[in-house]
Amino acid sequence: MTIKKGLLFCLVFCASFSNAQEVGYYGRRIFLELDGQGQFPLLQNIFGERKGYVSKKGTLNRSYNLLDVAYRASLNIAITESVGFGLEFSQRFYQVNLQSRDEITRNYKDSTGTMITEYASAKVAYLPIRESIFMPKVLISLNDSRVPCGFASEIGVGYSLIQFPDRNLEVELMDPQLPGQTAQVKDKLLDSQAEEFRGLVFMYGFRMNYPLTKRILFHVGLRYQYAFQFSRKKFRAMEESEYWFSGREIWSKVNLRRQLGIISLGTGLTFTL
Amino acid sequence: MLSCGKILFAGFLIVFFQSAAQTDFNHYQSLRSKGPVPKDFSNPTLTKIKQDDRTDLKSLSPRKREFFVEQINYSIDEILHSGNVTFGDTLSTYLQNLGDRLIAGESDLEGKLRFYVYNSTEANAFSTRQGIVFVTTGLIAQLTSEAQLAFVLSHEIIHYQEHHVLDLFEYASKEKFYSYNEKARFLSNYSRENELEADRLAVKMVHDAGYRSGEINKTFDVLLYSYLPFEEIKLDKTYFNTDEMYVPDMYFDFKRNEISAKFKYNDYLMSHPNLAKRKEQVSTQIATFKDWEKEILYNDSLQFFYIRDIARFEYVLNKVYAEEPIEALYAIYILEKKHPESAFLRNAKSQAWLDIMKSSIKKETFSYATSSYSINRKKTKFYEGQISVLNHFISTLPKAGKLAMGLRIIYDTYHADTSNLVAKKCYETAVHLLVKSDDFEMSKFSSKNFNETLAYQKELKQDTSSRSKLHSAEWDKYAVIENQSKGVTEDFGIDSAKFYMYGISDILRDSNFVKKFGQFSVGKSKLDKDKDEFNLMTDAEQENLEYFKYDEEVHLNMDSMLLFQPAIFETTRSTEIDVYKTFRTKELVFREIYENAADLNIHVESLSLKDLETLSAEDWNNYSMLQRSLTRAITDHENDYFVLDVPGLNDIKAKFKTEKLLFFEYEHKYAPELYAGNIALFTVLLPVGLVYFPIAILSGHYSDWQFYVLDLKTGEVVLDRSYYVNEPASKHSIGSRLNGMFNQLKQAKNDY
Repeated sequence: MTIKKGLLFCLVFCASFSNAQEVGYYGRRIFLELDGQGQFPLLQNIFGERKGYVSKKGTLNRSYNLLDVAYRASLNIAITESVGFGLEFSQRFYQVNLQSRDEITRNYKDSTGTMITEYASAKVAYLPIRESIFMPKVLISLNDSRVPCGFASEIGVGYSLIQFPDRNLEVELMDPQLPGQTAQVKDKLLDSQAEEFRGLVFMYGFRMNYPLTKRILFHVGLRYQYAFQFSRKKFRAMEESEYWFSGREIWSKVNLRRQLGIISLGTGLTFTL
Repeated sequence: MLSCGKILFAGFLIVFFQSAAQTDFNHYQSLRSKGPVPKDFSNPTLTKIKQDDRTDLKSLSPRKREFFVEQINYSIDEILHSGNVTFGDTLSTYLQNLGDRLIAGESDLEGKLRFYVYNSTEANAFSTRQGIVFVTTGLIAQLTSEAQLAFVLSHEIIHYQEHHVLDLFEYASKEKFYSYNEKARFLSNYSRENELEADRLAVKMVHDAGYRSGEINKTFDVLLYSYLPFEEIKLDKTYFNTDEMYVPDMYFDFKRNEISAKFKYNDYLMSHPNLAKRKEQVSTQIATFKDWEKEILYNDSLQFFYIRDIARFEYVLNKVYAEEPIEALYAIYILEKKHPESAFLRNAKSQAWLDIMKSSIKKETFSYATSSYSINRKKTKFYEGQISVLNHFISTLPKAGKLAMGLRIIYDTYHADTSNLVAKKCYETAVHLLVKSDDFEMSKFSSKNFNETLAYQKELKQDTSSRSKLHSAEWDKYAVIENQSKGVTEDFGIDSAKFYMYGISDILRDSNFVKKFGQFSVGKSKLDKDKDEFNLMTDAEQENLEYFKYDEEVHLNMDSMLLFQPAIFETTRSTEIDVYKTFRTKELVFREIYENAADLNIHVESLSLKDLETLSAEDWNNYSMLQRSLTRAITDHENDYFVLDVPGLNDIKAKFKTEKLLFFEYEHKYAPELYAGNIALFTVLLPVGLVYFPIAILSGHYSDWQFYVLDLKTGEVVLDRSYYVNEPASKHSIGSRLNGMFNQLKQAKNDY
């Protein structure tokens, strides 16, 4: 909450700037942006993950990890002709393959203190992620372009909340030994301590803003981002877990997935207010 | 043989034209278009391209043909719309008559050729495929007979008749180092064969028209020496002397620079054969005709010298506008011999001296722009012939000398006719310059003129009682230094090198001058004080002030403006003009100007080429005048002491009822930085390519804006602002930029 208040203060502070120049687009300084964003799955498919599973009509089928979309909304203000400041909220929906191979394992100490290690051949569906980012950003136009028209760079640092909207993943045991074993596995599939992660996003983007009308502009551009995830040490200690995917495993898989999604294409509309 | 009656009649005409000329030249006005506007001017370029008869271009491929037609029509219209070409004026009418006479026997040319004068000091003539022949005033000013002009026109007519421009285009198309654009603009540089052919056939044309052979070969002399002034007359040593100012002879005693031009020069790799070859060929050609003595005397031939004088007056005006005061002053010196009462020449002389005075106060700050390596550095000109004497005199004058000489001449011009507005403006500007200069100290100038000082010294020498004033018992180094700065020698004589110290004593006694000097000094003190305050500020304060000033510069409180034809270009990657796109963008820009001005409640008057068909001769004259003024004001706006055009600008201000003129240039191209080399490189280095390619593609639009606001009251550029943006030339990209600009122009200035 404190962060949100701080950012709101920033926006109000910037809006109070009065500049002698004719700032903005047709004199309008405040603008709202609505964007859609898509990820190039290129890098994670080349360097990263193996194919995972998606549930189709009750069965799990192999599929590329292609889902990565986001929407963004931001409220911005042009401070000078070439610099703008904005607060952006975005939600990104993507998924991570928790499995490195078709096998799940767990290590934990039972109540007697005995270390138990279990293996099971299984297929587990992708874990859906919803990442909400709250990001202050600065827009800087190239040469003498006037924000928000023309070519501009954007730089921002966002605070992200990484959540898992559906923890009840489809699991398919390849060699079930007991009836109800699948349900048991599903019950203890994801470590409940790894409920959500938090992190930062460092973003650099550029886009071309094409004016459509006196109030609306269309823009298209790319964003490069580096994702940082908090609490590494905390989750490192969670290796031993009765859950098939320990907190440590989930943390590092999600972290890796976020690292790979560095380039995204965004397009949207700008409305001057 | 001419009869006595004819000779008498001719004599009468000469006297008539001379007297008419005198009246004109005393209050000379620059060339003005008159009468109905020819189609060449009123037809829009796109219409010309559409209507172009392409039958003579069958040898070209369709793509080349279209390109050629587009570019050639565009290029010629650029010339016609440059403000340097007039129609229906005395010179163009004369050229047309002469041209018509030359083609009288050629049925295929009848009614096809139009002749216009192109106002420039360059000596040149060129014809176009459309049948337009341009002759520069600079060339006419240099000629010595109508026969020479007839030869030049004939030469150009032959180029047109023989379709040489097409030969040239085809030739240039084969040369890979020329871009298409350069090929099309390569108008006056024909091949050697074409040039020789044009010379050869022109001789026949001149012969048939009844001119004498002796004059034809002189044309090559004119061409060879056209870089010199139009006459070689020795500078009179007493030219600058007045009752008050005496310039010692020694300033004019040095040897003039030799004239170096040669007929035989190495023409290897040149488009034109050397003049010696051309002259030789023409001599041979002349010899093939035996009946050269049948000279025909045309009525308007008697006008030639009058026409030439007009061209020479234009030469003066052009040189003054081009800030070439030495050339202007030498030309004025020659013309004053024939037109001693000309107020025009006096005004031009005042302005030229203002330019000389100005050169003495230019700040010599150390920066890249003024360093010896800078390409913008104005090169010192090397003069040949008699003009080099004048140049030597002026360039050896120290700064104070330039200021004093300038003041002397400008002051005398003003006092000869105090009702002369230009002279008054020049005088006020001169005083302003003196105040601004660090080299002008009134107290150092002698209160007696040269003759009075001589007389005084003679008196002192004869008066034994005051001998001690001249020779003190002991030497006094400091008194000597003080005296030196006042133009007094060690033995209390007059220092000839500082003659100017004794040349403005009467002006210094003039209470009007002293009052004006005092008034301007108050303004200067305020500026100095502000400067001192600025120097005492912290870096942050200085920066703030600079930003504030930069912002405030645009706030001109404009609720009305005169829009001058904006220069708009759409270019391709290789900087060629995309003709169709250019005209589309022009349309767009005009629409956005009016729309945004209406939104912001700014009244716009326009002097543009938007509706060409509706423009009258008067509009074209205003257009030319503004084009010329803007060029000078923009080139020199940091140091604008040009006042010659102020009355003209004031007339325009009164006509359009607005004080500010807006002119802008806009150039757009889409040229992303994608070449075979970097495409290959960044494809191999894919991660880099993923960043590079999108940036290159999206930021590939380059739009260059340059805005100028000219104050029609003072003739000064009050705003020069440029923007370089990565935006397409779309409706709202252009619209929002203009909206921003207009919004700022409308605001009133704030106090710091």
